[in-house]
Amino acid sequence: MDIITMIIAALFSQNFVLVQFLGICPFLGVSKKIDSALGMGIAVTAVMVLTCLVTYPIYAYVLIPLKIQYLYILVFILVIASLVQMLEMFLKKFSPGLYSSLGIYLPLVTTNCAILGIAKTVTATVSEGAIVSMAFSLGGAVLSGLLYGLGFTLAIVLLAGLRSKVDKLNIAKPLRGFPITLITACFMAMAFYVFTLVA
Amino acid sequence: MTKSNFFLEAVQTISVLVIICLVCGALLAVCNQLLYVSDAEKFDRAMQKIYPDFVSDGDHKVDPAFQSNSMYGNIKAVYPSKDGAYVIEAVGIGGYKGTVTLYVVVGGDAIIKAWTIKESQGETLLSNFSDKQYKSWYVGKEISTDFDYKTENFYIAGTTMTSNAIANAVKMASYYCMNALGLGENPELEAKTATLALLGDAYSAYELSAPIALTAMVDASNSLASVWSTADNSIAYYFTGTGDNGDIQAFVYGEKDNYTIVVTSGNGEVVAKTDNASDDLVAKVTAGKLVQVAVNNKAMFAYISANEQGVYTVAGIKTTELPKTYVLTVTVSEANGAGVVDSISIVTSGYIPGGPSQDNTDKLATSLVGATSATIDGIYTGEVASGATQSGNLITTAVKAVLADFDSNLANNG
Amino acid sequence: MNFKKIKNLALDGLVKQNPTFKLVLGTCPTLALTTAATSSFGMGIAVTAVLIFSNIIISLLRNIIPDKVRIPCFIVIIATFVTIVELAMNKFLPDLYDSLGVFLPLIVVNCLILGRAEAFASKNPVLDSALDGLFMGLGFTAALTLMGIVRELLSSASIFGIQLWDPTVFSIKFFGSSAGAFLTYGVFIALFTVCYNAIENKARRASAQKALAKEAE
Repeated sequence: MDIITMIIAALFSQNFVLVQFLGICPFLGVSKKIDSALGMGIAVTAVMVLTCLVTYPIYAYVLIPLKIQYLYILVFILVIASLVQMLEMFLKKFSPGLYSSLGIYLPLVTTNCAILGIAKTVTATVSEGAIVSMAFSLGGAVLSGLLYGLGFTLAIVLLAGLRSKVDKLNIAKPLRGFPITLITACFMAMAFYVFTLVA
Repeated sequence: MTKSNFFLEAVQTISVLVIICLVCGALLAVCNQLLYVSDAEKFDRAMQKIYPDFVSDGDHKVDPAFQSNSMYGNIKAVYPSKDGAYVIEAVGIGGYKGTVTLYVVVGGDAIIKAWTIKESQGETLLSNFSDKQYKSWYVGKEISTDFDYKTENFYIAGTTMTSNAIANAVKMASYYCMNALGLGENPELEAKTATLALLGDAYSAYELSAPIALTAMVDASNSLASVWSTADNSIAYYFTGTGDNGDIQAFVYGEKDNYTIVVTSGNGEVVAKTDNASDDLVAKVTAGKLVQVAVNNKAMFAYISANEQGVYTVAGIKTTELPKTYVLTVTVSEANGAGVVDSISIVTSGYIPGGPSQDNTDKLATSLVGATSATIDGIYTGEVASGATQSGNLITTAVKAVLADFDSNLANNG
Repeated sequence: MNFKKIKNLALDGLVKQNPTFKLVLGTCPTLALTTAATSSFGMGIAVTAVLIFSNIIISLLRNIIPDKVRIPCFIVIIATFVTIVELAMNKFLPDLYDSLGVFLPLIVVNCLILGRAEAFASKNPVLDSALDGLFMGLGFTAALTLMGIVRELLSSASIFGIQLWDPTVFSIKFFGSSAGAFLTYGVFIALFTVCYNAIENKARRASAQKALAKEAE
């Protein structure tokens, strides 16, 4: 598939949040303000890229040859937790400014469905007869991580933008908080649906 | 004191984690052994669900000639049933390199009876498919139907790639049934059979390539179909064969039960032809020299249509996926006992959107000046060839054929 | 183990701290799988199973697991049970396994499970933790199944796969779409909050009246 289709798919028609329902918790929880949304989006994208970079070789060169693919949940989640921990320590030491603005979101990223979701997506396999091979190349995997992360960022920042407008309106009491956020997301999903018809 | 305490504590901490990991890993290994679902079990389960009448009729070895198709996917296994039906385990490629494996039940009457998903790899939206919704897709259709899942509504919105993969798996199963099992209407197989009948016993053991349906090509200009067609005959199929009597090329015109067939040898001499093959047709077919090569599993042709003392007109033609043709004029002269390319100019470039630009195409051609048969393969550097692999391959194929022809003429004429 | 404690745990898990409608945890499967009641129920049961077992083990090991590595240890234990559930489902309930898709392994990052492990199981005895897991899981299952029934009914006129009436006569496909998922969830939370507040106010008024009556004596 060419790069344009990949971009449209990752950002719109197969958007992790609005189409595949991955990463909803932070999407709903951290979208009150645009800066925090952007921060979360960047953190998620960074972790996604790192995750693809690490889990792909582990799955391809360790789990598949040893035929222990059933351990993937255990291995992936440990890798993700470690990566997030290391990223946090790295930022703390080398970029304290970035750490202070992103730092609070990093631990939350570990339990973000989207990270495990992208790890599972890029380690997809294609079987030809009895031979199992990876559907993506390492470069393609990392690129997918980047693009899907950007798709997540796009969705969460858009929602933050909408919420900042919506929260100023006078909403009926029972709808305040999550309900109105979800209804706003509903309209976003409708808009993104158009892209599934295109690509 | 504190240092050794810290060390002890660290060791204790890490070892707890490690022990837990090891125990869990061992537990999972045991569970995996106990709960492993074998292929045979998956098959039985699927048959219970979609085709309870299945009774195994022995083994069937998958025909390697039709085991995979770059457009659709590949066949993992075929299970014949005593009632004449076949269960095809077909893998379909999705738009995004994820695959879906289906069991497709095709009856002896070439109708799709039922299908189900065996497993999917890399498609996250399978949860949107409830058995109910897709059970009716494709069922009852004849396998030679040209399925277009979009127009027939065989897809669920937002799962384009999975639906595409399913469509491809069904097409793959159909392709195999038509070509390897001989089910249903199979005009390509008929063309081959008719040709073999014409050639007689001497050629019965020949290895034949899959027939290429030239008239189905999209790109009409300078396509092989137009090169060999006459006013009365448009070529239907072309295929090659190798065997004890040398290489052959078969050109099949017309329709079932009324074919016009011309078979030539590798040197362009007529080996066999049907009575209704006119002299004009034979002349056209034998006029040029055709070389078929496969580059990266894609069939490509070089067709030398003219050679006036070292000035060749040659076409590099690709007939599959995105058909494309380059027609070049190549001048070759002799140096050190072998042919060397003096100049290349592109007559037509068969430009299609998404192909390399005019500049890059010219570069592809001009960088081959000075090449010989021995050196031509190493000429393209990454810079020139990036984004233009197909075009590069086509141009190289054409020039290689020219050089080979020149060299063999040299060898023959001393 | 007194009855009052069980009652409190049950009320917590099912209503007062309902994971889906009150705590809003585990939202990914809530939105993705409630198109059909069977997959909602199946997911709920899977989560409940993982919750119970991981709570039990974590509670058993709560004095052994050092504080510094407790999160990774919890994650490993939870991941193990999720894998076991995945393997078992593939063997015994393959249709459910297919319909849950990628969300089955994603149970491991369901905030609900890690949250309960951290908040409850690591600080409470085994039986309490097991019950907490059970009721939280049941609360999650009930919520998801309810949403699943409504969405399936409206979008394809069926319930648990049984066709009730011809969908071409009346069905609103919108509720099966992703936009519909968000809308349904939002409306459910709003309705739940309204009912919950109303009942709580009533209870408060009743106990306030009781207190007044007692004072008057």
